[in-house]
Amino acid sequence: MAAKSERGRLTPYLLTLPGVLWLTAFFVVPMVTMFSVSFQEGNIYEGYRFTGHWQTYTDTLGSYSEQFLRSLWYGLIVTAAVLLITFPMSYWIALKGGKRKNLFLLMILLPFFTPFIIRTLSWKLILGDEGIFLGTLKNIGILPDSYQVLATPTAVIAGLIYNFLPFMALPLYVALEKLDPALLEAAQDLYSNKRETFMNVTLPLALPGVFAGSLLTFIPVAGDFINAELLGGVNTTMIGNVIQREILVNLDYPEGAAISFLLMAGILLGVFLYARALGTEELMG
Amino acid sequence: MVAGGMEPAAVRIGVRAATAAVLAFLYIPIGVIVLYAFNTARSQSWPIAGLTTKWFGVAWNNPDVRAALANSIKAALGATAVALLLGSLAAFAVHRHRFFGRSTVSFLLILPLALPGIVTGMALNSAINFGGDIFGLSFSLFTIILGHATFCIVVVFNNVVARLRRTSRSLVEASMDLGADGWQTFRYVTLPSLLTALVAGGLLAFALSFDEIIVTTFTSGSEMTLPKWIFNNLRIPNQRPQVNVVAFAVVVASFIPVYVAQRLTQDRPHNPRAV
Repeated sequence: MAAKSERGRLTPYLLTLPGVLWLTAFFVVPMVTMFSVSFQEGNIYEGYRFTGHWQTYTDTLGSYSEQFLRSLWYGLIVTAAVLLITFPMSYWIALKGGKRKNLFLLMILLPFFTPFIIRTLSWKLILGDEGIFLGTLKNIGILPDSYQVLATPTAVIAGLIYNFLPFMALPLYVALEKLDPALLEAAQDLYSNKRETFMNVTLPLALPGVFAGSLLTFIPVAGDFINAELLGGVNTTMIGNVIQREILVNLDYPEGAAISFLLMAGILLGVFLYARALGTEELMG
Repeated sequence: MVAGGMEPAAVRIGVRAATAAVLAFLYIPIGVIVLYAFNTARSQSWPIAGLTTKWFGVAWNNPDVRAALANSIKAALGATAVALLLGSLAAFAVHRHRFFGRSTVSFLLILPLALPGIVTGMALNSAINFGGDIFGLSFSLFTIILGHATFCIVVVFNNVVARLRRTSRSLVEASMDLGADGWQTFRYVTLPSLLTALVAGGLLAFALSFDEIIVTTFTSGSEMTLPKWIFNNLRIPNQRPQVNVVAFAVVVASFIPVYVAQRLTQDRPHNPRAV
Protein backbone atom coordinates (compact mmCIF):
# COMPACT_ATOMS: atom_id res chain seq x y z
CA MET A 1 0.00 0.00 0.00
CA ALA A 2 1.19 3.51 -0.77
CA ALA A 3 2.12 5.65 2.19
CA LYS A 4 -0.61 7.83 3.66
CA SER A 5 -0.61 10.85 1.43
CA GLU A 6 -2.73 13.96 1.54
CA ARG A 7 -4.89 12.39 -1.17
CA GLY A 8 -5.15 9.16 0.85
CA ARG A 9 -6.59 11.02 3.80
CA LEU A 10 -9.22 12.67 1.64
CA THR A 11 -10.30 9.42 -0.02
CA PRO A 12 -12.95 8.36 2.54
CA TYR A 13 -14.54 11.80 2.40
CA LEU A 14 -14.66 11.75 -1.39
CA LEU A 15 -16.21 8.27 -1.34
CA THR A 16 -18.89 9.15 1.20
CA LEU A 17 -19.58 12.60 -0.21
CA PRO A 18 -22.17 11.57 -2.86
CA GLY A 19 -24.19 9.50 -0.38
CA VAL A 20 -23.99 12.12 2.34
CA LEU A 21 -24.97 14.90 -0.07
CA TRP A 22 -27.91 12.84 -1.36
CA LEU A 23 -29.23 12.07 2.12
CA THR A 24 -28.67 15.64 3.26
CA ALA A 25 -30.59 17.04 0.29
CA PHE A 26 -33.40 14.48 0.22
CA PHE A 27 -33.69 13.45 3.85
CA VAL A 28 -32.18 15.97 6.30
CA VAL A 29 -33.32 19.13 4.50
CA PRO A 30 -36.87 17.72 4.06
CA MET A 31 -36.94 16.92 7.79
CA VAL A 32 -36.02 20.51 8.62
CA THR A 33 -38.60 21.76 6.14
CA MET A 34 -41.25 19.57 7.75
CA PHE A 35 -40.34 20.96 11.16
CA SER A 36 -40.70 24.52 9.88
CA VAL A 37 -44.00 23.71 8.13
CA SER A 38 -45.41 22.54 11.46
CA PHE A 39 -45.07 26.15 12.73
CA GLN A 40 -46.94 27.68 9.81
CA GLU A 41 -50.49 28.97 9.75
CA GLY A 42 -52.96 29.50 6.96
CA ASN A 43 -55.08 27.48 4.57
CA ILE A 44 -54.79 25.96 1.16
CA TYR A 45 -56.54 28.90 -0.60
CA GLU A 46 -54.53 31.78 0.85
CA GLY A 47 -51.33 29.85 1.38
CA TYR A 48 -49.35 29.07 4.51
CA ARG A 49 -46.97 31.41 6.30
CA PHE A 50 -44.44 30.78 9.02
CA THR A 51 -45.74 32.40 12.22
CA GLY A 52 -44.08 30.27 14.88
CA HIS A 53 -47.53 28.98 15.83
CA TRP A 54 -46.57 26.15 18.20
CA GLN A 55 -50.16 25.52 19.36
CA THR A 56 -50.66 23.09 16.46
CA TYR A 57 -48.64 20.66 18.57
CA THR A 58 -50.82 20.93 21.66
CA ASP A 59 -54.00 20.96 19.56
CA THR A 60 -53.11 17.78 17.67
CA LEU A 61 -51.97 16.02 20.82
CA GLY A 62 -55.39 16.81 22.28
CA SER A 63 -57.46 15.91 19.22
CA TYR A 64 -55.61 12.76 18.27
CA SER A 65 -54.45 11.36 21.61
CA GLU A 66 -56.68 8.36 20.96
CA GLN A 67 -54.91 7.52 17.68
CA PHE A 68 -51.48 8.16 19.19
CA LEU A 69 -52.22 5.79 22.06
CA ARG A 70 -53.75 3.21 19.73
CA SER A 71 -50.65 3.20 17.50
CA LEU A 72 -48.47 2.78 20.58
CA TRP A 73 -50.71 0.02 21.94
CA TYR A 74 -50.93 -1.90 18.66
CA GLY A 75 -47.17 -1.53 18.28
CA LEU A 76 -46.58 -3.10 21.68
CA ILE A 77 -49.07 -5.94 21.14
CA VAL A 78 -47.68 -6.76 17.71
CA THR A 79 -44.06 -6.64 18.91
CA ALA A 80 -44.80 -8.99 21.83
CA ALA A 81 -46.81 -11.32 19.58
CA VAL A 82 -44.16 -11.65 16.86
CA LEU A 83 -41.51 -12.22 19.52
CA LEU A 84 -43.51 -15.13 20.95
CA ILE A 85 -44.34 -16.52 17.51
CA THR A 86 -40.86 -16.32 15.98
CA PHE A 87 -38.64 -17.21 18.94
CA PRO A 88 -39.19 -21.01 18.88
CA MET A 89 -38.87 -21.04 15.10
CA SER A 90 -35.69 -18.94 14.99
CA TYR A 91 -34.25 -21.05 17.79
CA TRP A 92 -35.00 -24.28 15.96
CA ILE A 93 -33.59 -23.10 12.64
CA ALA A 94 -30.47 -21.57 14.18
CA LEU A 95 -29.57 -24.52 16.41
CA LYS A 96 -31.19 -27.51 14.71
CA GLY A 97 -31.44 -26.38 11.10
CA GLY A 98 -28.22 -28.09 10.08
CA LYS A 99 -27.47 -27.93 6.38
CA ARG A 100 -30.95 -26.71 5.58
CA LYS A 101 -30.61 -23.45 7.54
CA ASN A 102 -30.41 -21.33 4.42
CA LEU A 103 -33.40 -23.07 2.88
CA PHE A 104 -35.53 -22.45 5.98
CA LEU A 105 -34.40 -18.85 6.08
CA LEU A 106 -35.33 -18.38 2.46
CA MET A 107 -38.74 -19.94 3.17
CA ILE A 108 -39.37 -17.38 5.91
CA LEU A 109 -38.22 -14.46 3.82
CA LEU A 110 -39.83 -15.33 0.51
CA PRO A 111 -43.42 -14.29 1.36
CA PHE A 112 -42.16 -10.88 2.41
CA PHE A 113 -40.99 -9.95 -1.01
CA THR A 114 -44.60 -10.03 -2.04
CA PRO A 115 -45.62 -6.38 -1.85
CA PHE A 116 -46.91 -5.33 1.52
CA ILE A 117 -50.18 -4.15 -0.01
CA ILE A 118 -50.80 -7.58 -1.56
CA ARG A 119 -50.18 -9.40 1.71
CA THR A 120 -52.67 -7.13 3.38
CA LEU A 121 -55.13 -7.64 0.54
CA SER A 122 -54.88 -11.38 1.11
CA TRP A 123 -55.85 -10.94 4.76
CA LYS A 124 -58.87 -8.99 3.60
CA LEU A 125 -59.88 -12.03 1.51
CA ILE A 126 -59.23 -14.43 4.39
CA LEU A 127 -60.98 -12.43 7.10
CA GLY A 128 -63.81 -11.07 4.91
CA ASP A 129 -67.40 -11.48 6.13
CA GLU A 130 -67.98 -14.16 3.47
CA GLY A 131 -64.31 -15.08 3.15
CA ILE A 132 -62.43 -18.32 3.60
CA PHE A 133 -62.36 -18.28 7.36
CA LEU A 134 -65.65 -16.73 8.43
CA GLY A 135 -67.57 -17.88 5.35
CA THR A 136 -66.74 -21.50 6.09
CA LEU A 137 -67.60 -21.24 9.76
CA LYS A 138 -70.87 -19.47 8.91
CA ASN A 139 -71.81 -22.09 6.31
CA ILE A 140 -71.52 -24.89 8.82
CA GLY A 141 -73.41 -22.81 11.34
CA ILE A 142 -70.75 -22.26 13.97
CA LEU A 143 -70.91 -18.49 13.65
CA PRO A 144 -73.98 -16.26 13.20
CA ASP A 145 -74.24 -14.55 9.78
CA SER A 146 -73.69 -11.11 11.29
CA TYR A 147 -70.35 -12.01 12.87
CA GLN A 148 -67.39 -10.06 11.50
CA VAL A 149 -63.68 -9.68 12.09
CA LEU A 150 -62.89 -7.03 9.48
CA ALA A 151 -63.14 -3.50 10.89
CA THR A 152 -62.21 -4.76 14.36
CA PRO A 153 -58.87 -4.37 16.17
CA THR A 154 -58.34 -8.15 15.80
CA ALA A 155 -58.18 -7.85 12.01
CA VAL A 156 -55.75 -4.91 12.08
CA ILE A 157 -53.48 -6.58 14.64
CA ALA A 158 -53.54 -9.89 12.73
CA GLY A 159 -52.53 -8.11 9.53
CA LEU A 160 -49.75 -6.21 11.29
CA ILE A 161 -48.41 -9.40 12.92
CA TYR A 162 -48.29 -11.11 9.55
CA ASN A 163 -46.68 -8.20 7.75
CA PHE A 164 -43.92 -7.48 10.25
CA LEU A 165 -43.02 -11.00 11.36
CA PRO A 166 -39.68 -11.25 9.49
CA PHE A 167 -38.41 -8.04 11.08
CA MET A 168 -38.26 -9.98 14.34
CA ALA A 169 -37.43 -13.44 12.96
CA LEU A 170 -34.29 -12.35 11.16
CA PRO A 171 -32.42 -10.51 13.96
CA LEU A 172 -33.41 -13.30 16.39
CA TYR A 173 -32.00 -15.88 14.03
CA VAL A 174 -28.77 -13.92 13.58
CA ALA A 175 -28.31 -13.65 17.37
CA LEU A 176 -29.16 -17.30 18.06
CA GLU A 177 -27.02 -18.56 15.22
CA LYS A 178 -23.94 -17.16 16.95
CA LEU A 179 -24.76 -19.17 20.06
CA ASP A 180 -22.10 -21.80 20.59
CA PRO A 181 -23.68 -25.21 21.44
CA ALA A 182 -20.62 -25.87 23.61
CA LEU A 183 -21.90 -23.17 25.99
CA LEU A 184 -25.17 -25.05 26.43
CA GLU A 185 -23.29 -28.26 27.10
CA ALA A 186 -21.04 -26.47 29.58
CA ALA A 187 -24.11 -25.20 31.44
CA GLN A 188 -25.45 -28.73 31.65
CA ASP A 189 -22.12 -30.11 32.78
CA LEU A 190 -22.20 -27.54 35.55
CA TYR A 191 -25.56 -28.96 36.67
CA SER A 192 -27.96 -26.36 35.26
CA ASN A 193 -31.34 -27.83 34.46
CA LYS A 194 -32.92 -27.06 31.05
CA ARG A 195 -34.84 -24.07 32.33
CA GLU A 196 -31.82 -22.56 34.03
CA THR A 197 -29.72 -23.13 30.91
CA PHE A 198 -32.32 -21.35 28.82
CA MET A 199 -32.74 -18.45 31.25
CA ASN A 200 -29.05 -17.97 32.04
CA VAL A 201 -27.35 -18.83 28.76
CA THR A 202 -29.67 -18.81 25.75
CA LEU A 203 -31.82 -15.81 26.63
CA PRO A 204 -29.02 -13.35 27.55
CA LEU A 205 -27.19 -14.25 24.35
CA ALA A 206 -30.37 -13.77 22.30
CA LEU A 207 -31.00 -10.35 23.83
CA PRO A 208 -29.29 -8.28 21.11
CA GLY A 209 -31.58 -10.01 18.60
CA VAL A 210 -34.64 -9.30 20.74
CA PHE A 211 -33.59 -5.66 21.01
CA ALA A 212 -32.99 -5.16 17.29
CA GLY A 213 -36.10 -7.15 16.34
CA SER A 214 -38.33 -5.18 18.71
CA LEU A 215 -37.21 -1.87 17.25
CA LEU A 216 -37.48 -3.07 13.66
CA THR A 217 -41.03 -4.27 14.37
CA PHE A 218 -42.36 -1.57 16.66
CA ILE A 219 -41.22 1.42 14.59
CA PRO A 220 -42.90 0.60 11.26
CA VAL A 221 -46.00 -0.76 13.01
CA ALA A 222 -46.46 2.49 14.93
CA GLY A 223 -46.29 4.44 11.67
CA ASP A 224 -48.40 2.11 9.53
CA PHE A 225 -51.71 3.12 7.97
CA ILE A 226 -52.21 0.48 5.28
CA ASN A 227 -53.42 -2.28 7.63
CA ALA A 228 -55.83 -0.02 9.48
CA GLU A 229 -57.07 1.34 6.14
CA LEU A 230 -57.69 -2.05 4.51
CA LEU A 231 -58.61 -4.23 7.47
CA GLY A 232 -59.87 -1.77 10.04
CA GLY A 233 -62.84 0.49 10.59
CA VAL A 234 -63.66 3.78 12.28
CA ASN A 235 -62.60 2.44 15.68
CA THR A 236 -59.16 1.28 14.61
CA THR A 237 -57.67 4.41 12.98
CA MET A 238 -53.99 4.79 13.77
CA ILE A 239 -51.87 7.93 13.75
CA GLY A 240 -50.65 7.09 10.23
CA ASN A 241 -54.24 7.29 8.97
CA VAL A 242 -54.58 10.75 10.52
CA ILE A 243 -51.39 11.98 8.81
CA GLN A 244 -52.50 10.54 5.49
CA ARG A 245 -55.92 12.22 5.76
CA GLU A 246 -54.52 15.60 6.81
CA ILE A 247 -52.06 15.66 3.94
CA LEU A 248 -53.92 14.02 1.06
CA VAL A 249 -57.54 14.88 1.85
CA ASN A 250 -57.69 17.93 4.12
CA LEU A 251 -54.47 19.46 2.75
CA ASP A 252 -53.72 20.72 6.27
CA TYR A 253 -49.94 20.60 5.92
CA PRO A 254 -48.94 22.17 9.27
CA GLU A 255 -51.08 19.69 11.17
CA GLY A 256 -49.72 16.70 9.19
CA ALA A 257 -46.18 17.94 9.76
CA ALA A 258 -46.72 18.45 13.49
CA ILE A 259 -48.19 14.96 13.93
CA SER A 260 -45.32 13.39 11.96
CA PHE A 261 -42.83 15.24 14.08
CA LEU A 262 -44.53 14.13 17.30
CA LEU A 263 -44.53 10.54 16.03
CA MET A 264 -40.83 10.73 15.23
CA ALA A 265 -39.95 12.36 18.56
CA GLY A 266 -42.04 9.79 20.42
CA ILE A 267 -40.32 6.91 18.65
CA LEU A 268 -36.83 8.31 19.25
CA LEU A 269 -37.65 8.83 22.93
CA GLY A 270 -39.05 5.31 23.18
CA VAL A 271 -35.97 3.82 21.54
CA PHE A 272 -33.73 5.75 23.93
CA LEU A 273 -35.64 4.58 27.02
CA TYR A 274 -35.77 1.01 25.76
CA ALA A 275 -32.03 1.01 25.12
CA ARG A 276 -31.44 2.40 28.63
CA ALA A 277 -33.72 -0.20 30.19
CA LEU A 278 -31.90 -3.08 28.51
CA GLY A 279 -28.50 -1.55 29.24
CA THR A 280 -27.46 -1.63 25.63
CA GLU A 281 -23.88 -0.42 25.66
CA GLU A 282 -22.85 -4.04 25.38
CA LEU A 283 -25.83 -4.97 23.20
CA MET A 284 -24.87 -2.67 20.38
CA GLY A 285 -21.26 -3.86 20.26
CA MET B 1 -24.93 -37.12 24.66
CA VAL B 2 -26.44 -37.17 21.20
CA ALA B 3 -25.93 -33.85 19.40
CA GLY B 4 -29.09 -31.79 19.40
CA GLY B 5 -30.77 -34.04 21.93
CA MET B 6 -30.54 -31.68 24.84
CA GLU B 7 -34.20 -30.80 25.27
CA PRO B 8 -36.90 -33.19 26.43
CA ALA B 9 -38.91 -34.77 23.60
CA ALA B 10 -41.98 -32.66 24.35
CA VAL B 11 -40.05 -29.41 23.89
CA ARG B 12 -38.40 -30.70 20.73
CA ILE B 13 -41.71 -31.66 19.15
CA GLY B 14 -43.31 -28.43 20.33
CA VAL B 15 -40.60 -26.29 18.72
CA ARG B 16 -40.86 -28.25 15.47
CA ALA B 17 -44.63 -27.93 15.43
CA ALA B 18 -44.34 -24.18 16.09
CA THR B 19 -41.96 -23.84 13.13
CA ALA B 20 -44.31 -25.77 10.86
CA ALA B 21 -47.29 -23.70 12.06
CA VAL B 22 -45.50 -20.41 11.41
CA LEU B 23 -44.51 -21.53 7.92
CA ALA B 24 -48.12 -22.46 7.18
CA PHE B 25 -49.22 -19.07 8.54
CA LEU B 26 -46.72 -17.41 6.17
CA TYR B 27 -47.78 -19.24 3.03
CA ILE B 28 -51.56 -19.52 3.33
CA PRO B 29 -52.14 -15.86 2.38
CA ILE B 30 -49.89 -16.29 -0.66
CA GLY B 31 -51.89 -19.36 -1.68
CA VAL B 32 -55.11 -17.40 -1.28
CA ILE B 33 -53.83 -14.71 -3.68
CA VAL B 34 -52.93 -17.37 -6.25
CA LEU B 35 -56.35 -19.00 -5.96
CA TYR B 36 -58.37 -15.79 -6.19
CA ALA B 37 -56.53 -14.72 -9.36
CA PHE B 38 -58.38 -17.54 -11.13
CA ASN B 39 -61.80 -16.80 -9.61
CA THR B 40 -64.61 -16.55 -12.21
CA ALA B 41 -66.85 -14.32 -10.06
CA ARG B 42 -66.43 -10.64 -9.28
CA SER B 43 -67.58 -11.37 -5.75
CA GLN B 44 -64.86 -12.14 -3.25
CA SER B 45 -66.87 -14.67 -1.25
CA TRP B 46 -65.78 -18.20 -0.38
CA PRO B 47 -65.82 -20.78 -1.85
CA ILE B 48 -64.81 -19.26 -5.19
CA ALA B 49 -67.31 -19.77 -8.00
CA GLY B 50 -65.01 -21.48 -10.49
CA LEU B 51 -61.64 -21.26 -12.20
CA THR B 52 -60.82 -19.07 -15.18
CA THR B 53 -57.90 -17.21 -16.73
CA LYS B 54 -60.08 -14.55 -18.37
CA TRP B 55 -59.06 -11.76 -15.94
CA PHE B 56 -55.43 -12.07 -16.99
CA GLY B 57 -56.29 -10.79 -20.46
CA VAL B 58 -58.51 -8.05 -19.06
CA ALA B 59 -55.77 -6.80 -16.72
CA TRP B 60 -53.05 -7.03 -19.37
CA ASN B 61 -55.12 -4.92 -21.75
CA ASN B 62 -55.92 -2.32 -19.09
CA PRO B 63 -53.85 0.79 -20.00
CA ASP B 64 -53.86 1.97 -16.36
CA VAL B 65 -52.26 -1.27 -15.22
CA ARG B 66 -49.64 -1.07 -17.94
CA ALA B 67 -48.82 2.55 -17.12
CA ALA B 68 -48.56 1.75 -13.41
CA LEU B 69 -46.32 -1.24 -14.13
CA ALA B 70 -44.06 0.82 -16.40
CA ASN B 71 -43.79 3.54 -13.74
CA SER B 72 -43.00 1.03 -11.01
CA ILE B 73 -40.21 -0.49 -13.10
CA LYS B 74 -38.76 2.92 -13.97
CA ALA B 75 -38.87 4.04 -10.34
CA ALA B 76 -37.24 0.83 -9.13
CA LEU B 77 -34.51 1.01 -11.79
CA GLY B 78 -33.79 4.65 -10.93
CA ALA B 79 -33.68 4.05 -7.19
CA THR B 80 -31.53 0.93 -7.64
CA ALA B 81 -29.02 2.77 -9.83
CA VAL B 82 -28.64 5.58 -7.28
CA ALA B 83 -28.42 3.09 -4.42
CA LEU B 84 -25.77 0.96 -6.15
CA LEU B 85 -23.53 3.92 -6.85
CA LEU B 86 -23.85 5.82 -3.57
CA GLY B 87 -24.18 2.73 -1.37
CA SER B 88 -21.07 0.95 -2.65
CA LEU B 89 -18.91 4.10 -2.58
CA ALA B 90 -19.88 4.69 1.05
CA ALA B 91 -19.28 1.01 1.84
CA PHE B 92 -15.69 1.26 0.57
CA ALA B 93 -15.06 4.36 2.65
CA VAL B 94 -16.50 2.90 5.85
CA HIS B 95 -14.84 -0.50 5.43
CA ARG B 96 -11.38 0.59 4.29
CA HIS B 97 -10.81 3.77 6.23
CA ARG B 98 -10.95 5.06 9.78
CA PHE B 99 -11.89 8.71 9.47
CA PHE B 100 -13.48 11.52 11.44
CA GLY B 101 -17.26 11.29 11.12
CA ARG B 102 -17.27 7.60 10.14
CA SER B 103 -20.00 6.61 12.60
CA THR B 104 -22.06 9.68 11.67
CA VAL B 105 -22.01 8.54 8.04
CA SER B 106 -23.22 5.05 9.02
CA PHE B 107 -25.92 6.57 11.20
CA LEU B 108 -27.12 8.89 8.44
CA LEU B 109 -27.32 5.98 5.99
CA ILE B 110 -29.40 3.84 8.34
CA LEU B 111 -31.71 6.62 9.54
CA PRO B 112 -34.23 6.48 6.64
CA LEU B 113 -34.73 2.78 7.35
CA ALA B 114 -34.87 3.30 11.13
CA LEU B 115 -37.68 5.86 11.02
CA PRO B 116 -41.18 4.89 9.92
CA GLY B 117 -41.75 5.35 6.19
CA ILE B 118 -44.54 7.79 6.89
CA VAL B 119 -42.10 10.28 8.48
CA THR B 120 -39.70 10.05 5.51
CA GLY B 121 -42.66 10.44 3.17
CA MET B 122 -44.07 13.42 5.05
CA ALA B 123 -40.69 15.16 5.17
CA LEU B 124 -40.27 14.84 1.40
CA ASN B 125 -43.87 15.90 0.92
CA SER B 126 -43.20 19.09 2.93
CA ALA B 127 -40.01 19.76 0.96
CA ILE B 128 -41.77 19.35 -2.38
CA ASN B 129 -44.81 21.38 -1.38
CA PHE B 130 -43.00 24.18 0.40
CA GLY B 131 -39.50 24.13 -1.05
CA GLY B 132 -40.49 22.93 -4.53
CA ASP B 133 -40.03 26.39 -6.00
CA ILE B 134 -36.58 26.78 -4.47
CA PHE B 135 -35.31 23.32 -5.41
CA GLY B 136 -37.23 23.09 -8.67
CA LEU B 137 -39.11 19.97 -7.56
CA SER B 138 -42.67 18.95 -8.30
CA PHE B 139 -44.46 15.65 -7.72
CA SER B 140 -43.35 13.26 -10.46
CA LEU B 141 -41.63 9.99 -11.18
CA PHE B 142 -38.43 11.76 -10.15
CA THR B 143 -39.70 12.50 -6.63
CA ILE B 144 -40.77 8.84 -6.28
CA ILE B 145 -37.18 7.85 -7.11
CA LEU B 146 -35.81 10.37 -4.60
CA GLY B 147 -37.92 8.86 -1.84
CA HIS B 148 -37.12 5.26 -2.70
CA ALA B 149 -33.38 5.84 -3.12
CA THR B 150 -33.07 7.29 0.41
CA PHE B 151 -33.93 3.93 1.96
CA CYS B 152 -32.37 1.72 -0.77
CA ILE B 153 -28.84 3.12 -0.31
CA VAL B 154 -28.45 1.36 3.03
CA VAL B 155 -29.46 -2.01 1.52
CA VAL B 156 -26.62 -1.92 -1.01
CA PHE B 157 -24.29 -0.46 1.62
CA ASN B 158 -24.98 -3.36 4.02
CA ASN B 159 -24.49 -6.01 1.35
CA VAL B 160 -21.21 -4.56 0.13
CA VAL B 161 -19.82 -3.99 3.65
CA ALA B 162 -20.68 -7.59 4.57
CA ARG B 163 -18.86 -8.89 1.51
CA LEU B 164 -15.82 -6.65 2.01
CA ARG B 165 -15.52 -7.97 5.57
CA ARG B 166 -15.43 -11.54 4.31
CA THR B 167 -13.06 -10.88 1.42
CA SER B 168 -9.52 -11.63 2.40
CA ARG B 169 -7.29 -8.60 2.67
CA SER B 170 -4.33 -10.75 1.63
CA LEU B 171 -5.71 -11.06 -1.91
CA VAL B 172 -5.43 -7.32 -2.38
CA GLU B 173 -1.95 -7.33 -0.87
CA ALA B 174 -0.89 -10.22 -3.09
CA SER B 175 -2.10 -8.33 -6.14
CA MET B 176 -0.14 -5.24 -5.11
CA ASP B 177 2.97 -7.33 -4.39
CA LEU B 178 2.73 -8.78 -7.88
CA GLY B 179 2.99 -5.29 -9.28
CA ALA B 180 -0.63 -4.37 -9.99
CA ASP B 181 -1.50 -0.73 -9.42
CA GLY B 182 -4.53 0.42 -7.41
CA TRP B 183 -6.84 0.49 -10.39
CA GLN B 184 -5.78 -2.92 -11.71
CA THR B 185 -6.24 -4.44 -8.26
CA PHE B 186 -9.71 -2.93 -8.06
CA ARG B 187 -10.62 -4.05 -11.57
CA TYR B 188 -9.28 -7.61 -11.40
CA VAL B 189 -9.44 -8.53 -7.71
CA THR B 190 -11.87 -6.40 -5.70
CA LEU B 191 -14.62 -5.96 -8.27
CA PRO B 192 -15.00 -9.65 -9.22
CA SER B 193 -15.24 -10.63 -5.57
CA LEU B 194 -17.89 -7.94 -5.02
CA LEU B 195 -19.94 -8.61 -8.11
CA THR B 196 -22.43 -11.00 -6.59
CA ALA B 197 -22.86 -8.75 -3.52
CA LEU B 198 -23.63 -5.83 -5.85
CA VAL B 199 -26.13 -7.90 -7.83
CA ALA B 200 -27.79 -9.17 -4.64
CA GLY B 201 -27.93 -5.68 -3.09
CA GLY B 202 -29.29 -4.28 -6.33
CA LEU B 203 -32.00 -6.93 -6.57
CA LEU B 204 -33.08 -6.32 -2.96
CA ALA B 205 -33.14 -2.57 -3.55
CA PHE B 206 -35.23 -3.14 -6.68
CA ALA B 207 -37.67 -5.36 -4.79
CA LEU B 208 -37.96 -2.86 -1.90
CA SER B 209 -38.68 -0.01 -4.28
CA PHE B 210 -41.10 -2.04 -6.37
CA ASP B 211 -43.13 -2.91 -3.23
CA GLU B 212 -43.10 0.44 -1.54
CA ILE B 213 -46.39 2.18 -0.86
CA ILE B 214 -46.10 4.38 2.23
CA VAL B 215 -43.37 6.79 1.10
CA THR B 216 -44.82 6.62 -2.42
CA THR B 217 -48.21 7.82 -1.14
CA PHE B 218 -46.60 11.09 -0.07
CA THR B 219 -44.13 11.65 -2.89
CA SER B 220 -46.00 10.59 -6.04
CA GLY B 221 -48.69 13.25 -6.46
CA SER B 222 -50.87 11.94 -9.28
CA GLU B 223 -48.23 9.54 -10.64
CA MET B 224 -49.27 5.90 -10.36
CA THR B 225 -47.22 2.90 -9.28
CA LEU B 226 -48.42 -0.69 -9.19
CA PRO B 227 -48.89 -0.91 -5.38
CA LYS B 228 -50.67 2.45 -5.48
CA TRP B 229 -52.94 1.27 -8.30
CA ILE B 230 -53.84 -1.79 -6.22
CA PHE B 231 -54.53 0.37 -3.17
CA ASN B 232 -56.77 2.76 -5.15
CA ASN B 233 -58.72 0.02 -6.93
CA LEU B 234 -59.33 -2.28 -3.97
CA ARG B 235 -62.45 -0.44 -3.05
CA ILE B 236 -64.05 -0.70 -6.49
CA PRO B 237 -65.90 -4.06 -6.59
CA ASN B 238 -65.75 -4.28 -10.42
CA GLN B 239 -61.99 -3.92 -10.36
CA ARG B 240 -61.34 -6.61 -7.76
CA PRO B 241 -60.73 -9.49 -10.22
CA GLN B 242 -58.11 -7.37 -11.98
CA VAL B 243 -56.55 -6.40 -8.64
CA ASN B 244 -56.25 -10.09 -7.76
CA VAL B 245 -54.66 -10.94 -11.10
CA VAL B 246 -52.15 -8.09 -10.80
CA ALA B 247 -51.37 -9.21 -7.24
CA PHE B 248 -50.74 -12.77 -8.47
CA ALA B 249 -48.44 -11.58 -11.25
CA VAL B 250 -46.45 -9.44 -8.81
CA VAL B 251 -46.13 -12.35 -6.37
CA VAL B 252 -44.64 -14.55 -9.07
CA ALA B 253 -42.41 -11.79 -10.40
CA SER B 254 -41.10 -10.84 -6.95
CA PHE B 255 -40.02 -14.36 -6.04
CA ILE B 256 -37.53 -14.52 -8.91
CA PRO B 257 -35.10 -11.73 -7.89
CA VAL B 258 -35.11 -12.89 -4.27
CA TYR B 259 -34.26 -16.41 -5.27
CA VAL B 260 -31.41 -15.19 -7.47
CA ALA B 261 -30.13 -12.84 -4.73
CA GLN B 262 -30.18 -15.67 -2.22
CA ARG B 263 -28.22 -17.98 -4.52
CA LEU B 264 -25.63 -15.29 -5.17
CA THR B 265 -24.96 -14.46 -1.53
CA GLN B 266 -24.75 -18.04 -0.32
CA ASP B 267 -21.30 -19.15 0.79
CA ARG B 268 -19.57 -21.18 -1.85
CA PRO B 269 -16.27 -22.99 -1.44
CA HIS B 270 -14.43 -20.95 -4.05
CA ASN B 271 -15.40 -17.64 -2.46
CA PRO B 272 -12.27 -16.02 -1.11
CA ARG B 273 -12.95 -15.32 2.52
CA ALA B 274 -11.04 -14.28 5.58
CA VAL B 275 -10.87 -16.95 8.26
